[in-house]
Amino acid sequence: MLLHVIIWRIKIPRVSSFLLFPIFILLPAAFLLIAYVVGITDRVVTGIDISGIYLLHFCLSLAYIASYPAVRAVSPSLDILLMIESSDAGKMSEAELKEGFARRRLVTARIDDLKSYNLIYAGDEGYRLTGIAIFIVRIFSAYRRMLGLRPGAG
Amino acid sequence: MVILLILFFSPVIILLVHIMGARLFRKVPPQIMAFRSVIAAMIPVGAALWFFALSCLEHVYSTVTYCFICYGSLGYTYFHFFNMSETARRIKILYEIDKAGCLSEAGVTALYRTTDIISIRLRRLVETGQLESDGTFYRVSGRSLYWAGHMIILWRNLLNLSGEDA
Repeated sequence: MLLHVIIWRIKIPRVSSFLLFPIFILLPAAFLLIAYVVGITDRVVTGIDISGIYLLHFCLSLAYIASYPAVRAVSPSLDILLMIESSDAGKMSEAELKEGFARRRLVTARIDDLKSYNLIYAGDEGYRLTGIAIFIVRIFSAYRRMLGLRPGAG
Repeated sequence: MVILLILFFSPVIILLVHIMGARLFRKVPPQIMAFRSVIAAMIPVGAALWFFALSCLEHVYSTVTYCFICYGSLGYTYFHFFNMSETARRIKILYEIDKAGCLSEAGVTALYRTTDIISIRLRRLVETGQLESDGTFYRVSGRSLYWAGHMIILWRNLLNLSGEDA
């Protein structure tokens, strides 16, 4: 976590969400594996204990990584709540809320994100999905079908 | 080791419970059903942990705390994964491009407009009890997401994330 905060405060990486996996998942795993193989941990914990320690770290890390997109890209839902609560009357109409969001790039900013992460590329007639994006869409489509739900409304 | 395996595969149990719940109770708002599935799956996961491991352990309380933290974190992650499939703008854009084969930026914004994004979220926030509406105006009623929003602002400041497109 400290490494994550330090790196982000120096310069936010271009594909910041992706970099959380090496920082939170791979580096600690590598560290523990090396410590176990070299024998540093022999007198203190067993291999099973190390697995238990890593599982706890892995679970907490996944929870943080899952939360990060909401921190990184401003969530319209959370913004709606904050806008209403901070309004003079403590209430707002749908028209007022839409006006408040009128200047925000709610869709085009996410298109830029998808380009940064190489999930879409610009062809002659428009954007197309890369191979990894097709895989992601198939996973989510299959997941929604298992639940008996149509694709999300966004 | 059994405890670790049960915990590691607990999201599979959550998924199975969620599949049953989503198909049986179609009128329940999707995010509420996902949340309830995570809670409901604690029963089979807890039972498996008890019968296969915890009942013969000496330090039960510390192990139960450990299991609770791991399961809670994985359940939270599962909820976010479902929430991404339901609400994420990026996933929605990928779906639309996949469906069309090829879409220009104007095509994407025509299919998925800012006004639609706000309307969809207002409906969702009312369904999940975060907002109440008198037909014209919306007020904040639930506090959980509201306080989550404040914590996110604090965390964004700590990470030096500024503006919309960080």
